[in-house]
Amino acid sequence: MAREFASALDAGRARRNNEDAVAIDAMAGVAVLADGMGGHNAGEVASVMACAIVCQDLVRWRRAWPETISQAAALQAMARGVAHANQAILNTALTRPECRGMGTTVVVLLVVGDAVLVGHVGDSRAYRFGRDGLERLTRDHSLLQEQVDAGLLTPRQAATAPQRNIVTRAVGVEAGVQLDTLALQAQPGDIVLLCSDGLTDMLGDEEIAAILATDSSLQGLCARLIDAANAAGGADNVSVVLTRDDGDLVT
Amino acid sequence: MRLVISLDGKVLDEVPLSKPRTTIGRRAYNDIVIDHLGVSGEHAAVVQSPQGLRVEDLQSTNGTYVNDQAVEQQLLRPGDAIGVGRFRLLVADAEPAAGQDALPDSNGPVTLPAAGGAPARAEADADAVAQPAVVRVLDGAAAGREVLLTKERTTFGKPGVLVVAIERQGQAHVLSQVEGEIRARLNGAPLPGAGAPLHDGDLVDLMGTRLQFIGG
Repeated sequence: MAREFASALDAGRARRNNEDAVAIDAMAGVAVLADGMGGHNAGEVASVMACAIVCQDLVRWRRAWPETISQAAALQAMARGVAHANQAILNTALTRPECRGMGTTVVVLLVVGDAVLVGHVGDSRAYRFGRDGLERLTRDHSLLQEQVDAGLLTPRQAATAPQRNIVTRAVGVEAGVQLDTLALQAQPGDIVLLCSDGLTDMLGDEEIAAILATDSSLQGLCARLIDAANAAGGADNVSVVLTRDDGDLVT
Repeated sequence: MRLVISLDGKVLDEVPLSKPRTTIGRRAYNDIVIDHLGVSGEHAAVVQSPQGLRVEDLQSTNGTYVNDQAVEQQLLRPGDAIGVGRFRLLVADAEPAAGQDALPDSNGPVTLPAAGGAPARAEADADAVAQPAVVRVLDGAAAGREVLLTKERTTFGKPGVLVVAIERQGQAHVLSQVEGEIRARLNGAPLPGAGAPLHDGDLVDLMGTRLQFIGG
């Protein structure tokens, strides 16, 4: 199995600070992306802490259990990592006035054998792009998604609604955090995309799919996604992680 | 305390602040080496002082920043971001929570699949456990790619021309040729028909495309 990872981040065209963060350990098959929020540099503090803690916890856990890992055990390790980050960010927020109220979304990817496990909190998303096109894997924890679920808005209305970015779940804002998880069987050639809302607020599914369908390296695809989000306005920080299993053959 | 090092939002590394004085700079003898333009040879130091953790600029060319303010020295608190060149070093107090790392099921009713060696592993130190072996591609279009040998059997090569397989046998990895008239070479010599065990650093040559085996 040759699983590749690539990532890119950009502050966007409207903001000076980058409050998104990414951590990847390709050896351990771990990727974490976070979109922080809070005044001063607090959003950046929260997102970097979340990425660093979750990634390091999972890498250590993986080293301790390199071979036989059940999906249930792996998902629990992921949830523990996010709970650990939640506690650490909350502790910092409570002891530093300028960090008060900071928090972050997180989307975590962990490769276990042929399966890809994904967990998320907030409105950072995971997608799969394969033979059947682009498939969204996660459901946002956002006010908007709740309104769509309740039938108050159509998905089309939601795409242009104001206040798109109010999340109803975040890491580091209260004592507990609930991680939604899923496992998927990724086929060789499938691309899994993790991204912040800076991408998905700017680009629709068709535009993202069209870019992922171009013949390019993973790193090249990351750059094209960032460029397209900026060309569409770049209203927010943009971050993307891509991973693909190219199968066994090195030709 | 630890420093989480990031560049433009990409988390690169984490360093525990275990020494009385941790130096940061471009030269190799620093505790934290950042070999990058904009970072001085001896750029800054993080010191455990009686008042607490303190960062000191070592008269660097481009300055040391704390939360985007240039400083000569400054006490640090968790959540502070030290700026050195384009790098950020975030002060974090999050030690890995006890019991969370080495034992995946210490606080949950997780059933691990019964596997040989599992009980021994439960007592193992996380850092003492070997990492999975890796094959690094040294030449060709895929140069630089690393393939994690997580499966029982991983194949490499061009179908119909030359294909080799690496199989895990307990702790060992064995290389054998499964397809092709032209022999693969192991450390310069033709690979025996019966295959051969791999050792850390071994070079496998597939018609000019070299793979390096890393791990034991």
